[in-house]
Amino acid sequence: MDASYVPRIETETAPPRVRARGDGVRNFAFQVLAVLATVLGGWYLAWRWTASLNPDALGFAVVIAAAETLAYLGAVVFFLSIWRAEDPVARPAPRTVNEIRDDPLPHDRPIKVDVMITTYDEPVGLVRLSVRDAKQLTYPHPLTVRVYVLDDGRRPEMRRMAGEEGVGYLSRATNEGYKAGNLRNGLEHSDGDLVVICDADTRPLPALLEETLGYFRDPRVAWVQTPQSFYDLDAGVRLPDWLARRARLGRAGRLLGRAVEAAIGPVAVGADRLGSDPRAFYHVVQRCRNWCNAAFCCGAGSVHRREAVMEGALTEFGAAVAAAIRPITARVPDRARRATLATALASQAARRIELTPYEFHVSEDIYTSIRLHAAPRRWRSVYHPRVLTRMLSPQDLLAWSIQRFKYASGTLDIALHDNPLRLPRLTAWQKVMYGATMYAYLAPLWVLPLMLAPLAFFFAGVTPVRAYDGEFAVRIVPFLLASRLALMVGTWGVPTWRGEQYHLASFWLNLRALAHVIARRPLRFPVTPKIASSRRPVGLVVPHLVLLGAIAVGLVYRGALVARPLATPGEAAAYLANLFWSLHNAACLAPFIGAGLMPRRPKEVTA
Amino acid sequence: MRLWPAGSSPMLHLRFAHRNGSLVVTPLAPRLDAECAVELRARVAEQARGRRRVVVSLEHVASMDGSALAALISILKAMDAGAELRLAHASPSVRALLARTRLDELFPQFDDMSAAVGE
Repeated sequence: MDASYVPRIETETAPPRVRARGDGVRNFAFQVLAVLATVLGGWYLAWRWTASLNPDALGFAVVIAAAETLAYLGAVVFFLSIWRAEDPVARPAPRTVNEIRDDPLPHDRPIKVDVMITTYDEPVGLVRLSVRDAKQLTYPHPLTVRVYVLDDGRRPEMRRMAGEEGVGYLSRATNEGYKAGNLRNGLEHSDGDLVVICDADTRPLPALLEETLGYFRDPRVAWVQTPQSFYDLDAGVRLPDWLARRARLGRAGRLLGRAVEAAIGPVAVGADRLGSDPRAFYHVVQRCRNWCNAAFCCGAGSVHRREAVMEGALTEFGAAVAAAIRPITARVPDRARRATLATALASQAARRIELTPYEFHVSEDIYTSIRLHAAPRRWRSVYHPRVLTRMLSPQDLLAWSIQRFKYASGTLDIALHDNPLRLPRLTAWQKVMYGATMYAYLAPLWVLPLMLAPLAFFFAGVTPVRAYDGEFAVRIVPFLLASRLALMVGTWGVPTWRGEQYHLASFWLNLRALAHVIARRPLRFPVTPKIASSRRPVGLVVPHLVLLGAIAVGLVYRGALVARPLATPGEAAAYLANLFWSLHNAACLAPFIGAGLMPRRPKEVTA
Repeated sequence: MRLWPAGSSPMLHLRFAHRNGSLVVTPLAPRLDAECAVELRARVAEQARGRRRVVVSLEHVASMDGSALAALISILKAMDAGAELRLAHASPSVRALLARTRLDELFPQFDDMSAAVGE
């Protein structure tokens, strides 16, 4: 076995649930703060548009005010998307298949579960870890579990490993449809009532089925998603330790660190340098989508009802066939002849169109989720709030960027060309949830102007507001404070700062994704690499380095001008406001740049 | 918990007949579902190769699930261009599944076997 892929930091037990109780308090406090922030933000923006646009640079002022408005809408939509946290009610593990079916079988039997592990080029040793863990799944009643390695790499050594481990091995002649096609092939050769979908590096914990199968007692439940957790994330150094040792402040530093942690919760310095920690997404975003039946399927660590997967695939297939023949049959007036022609054409079209359990789409997971939620049977989804699988995080900035570009371009593609907000069977809240996801990827439209605004001031002396005076402060500070507080309460106990940094630093990647989708360039991404490449992805951080350099030069240049005795007090106030905003931006860009320049992480070799 | 050895699914009874140049397949099972879809696909696709018309007679079949319907699609895909796969005696629940997935145009349905085989 390749020892090099044994994880560095391995936590053997599932971390406890972030919040078991207290959702009522969280929801109420958050909702009050969110409404407050929304009202204060509206009050600020009303003033911005009506009383504070800088008449000396009106075009610039309007652009920035528009960007602020878009950012404000983003905040409001985000507040709505985390409006209410609510976990599903756990139900006992079903004994037999008839307990999870709406049409009972004449001969009842134990439930059959297929565990599908998809792989393309990952090392055998890594996949073996996933296979071994899948074989350890426990269940309180008789259960039939089959584990399959779905190998799109068609490797003899992978087949051998599957044989040694006593699990199924399936490969196919082509790689059509990548992971989606691979899963389709797996489903065609298996017959489980439920299907667990795992990536090559997804390692299920023993309780995965025990804890999730109960939800399938509701025959409308199509899938149960569990949070993903990366077992190889750098845990960082806790603030008291960091201040005492690394910053060499000794006892005073430790006390200071403890005081800070008491006020704002645990702080880990240098943790998760790549911003991969998915806790904010799962423990906040997904948890808050649960109550209104809008939890996503995330493509790994999820359990699916085969019938829902198949029906979703067939419906998509049927729609594609119907769309292919409609332009021709519509022109035939005679009804009987039209039916004959339709069958002949459908039969031809069907041979060209692929039937896949997941769409041939870069964002197949969100796409599939939307389709099933909006299907005639209105399938339901459940987000189970406990970590029951572990996996590897993206290993470097390149892998991270490929993954994020995939999410961004895929989601934007759905938003622009196939908008779910038009689907009639989605509820209003489901539309809010999917709308929030799509809106978030438009962020570069406001992030970029807002990040560039200080440069306009530093180098040209123009500001978007009339004056950075007392009134400006009175209008904006309450809004910023209230939204910060709302965010803190809404995400209580989950680190979000790294995510915020990366959200801002992703402006370039998201902008490219947007341009890519608008130009309708083909979106093609086979798989996200699980292994670090040997090249430093310096190119990815060039725009960030340029921006950071410009901020530094601008600060010095304008600083020198402001320090002159002729400068007005207004200039100093403007400088301070832009200094504050630029430092915030620089702090967001820094870890991203660091990740691009940091040397390749040395492989951990265990004896 | 039991780990199944791969590839041990229960036997599906199929009757094959030839009528007016068509291959008529009659599954002798009340339910076509995931458990027999693998076998259905493999055995019918093999017999259907080179045929112009295959009729699946569903007179004994009360219900069918998505996996079995997917098997019918892959049987059709394995057949020659221009060849047809027809369904006879589809039950109301099978018709509902075909309508829901909009696959009713792809698989023409007949209540009468002579019409299905073009007699």
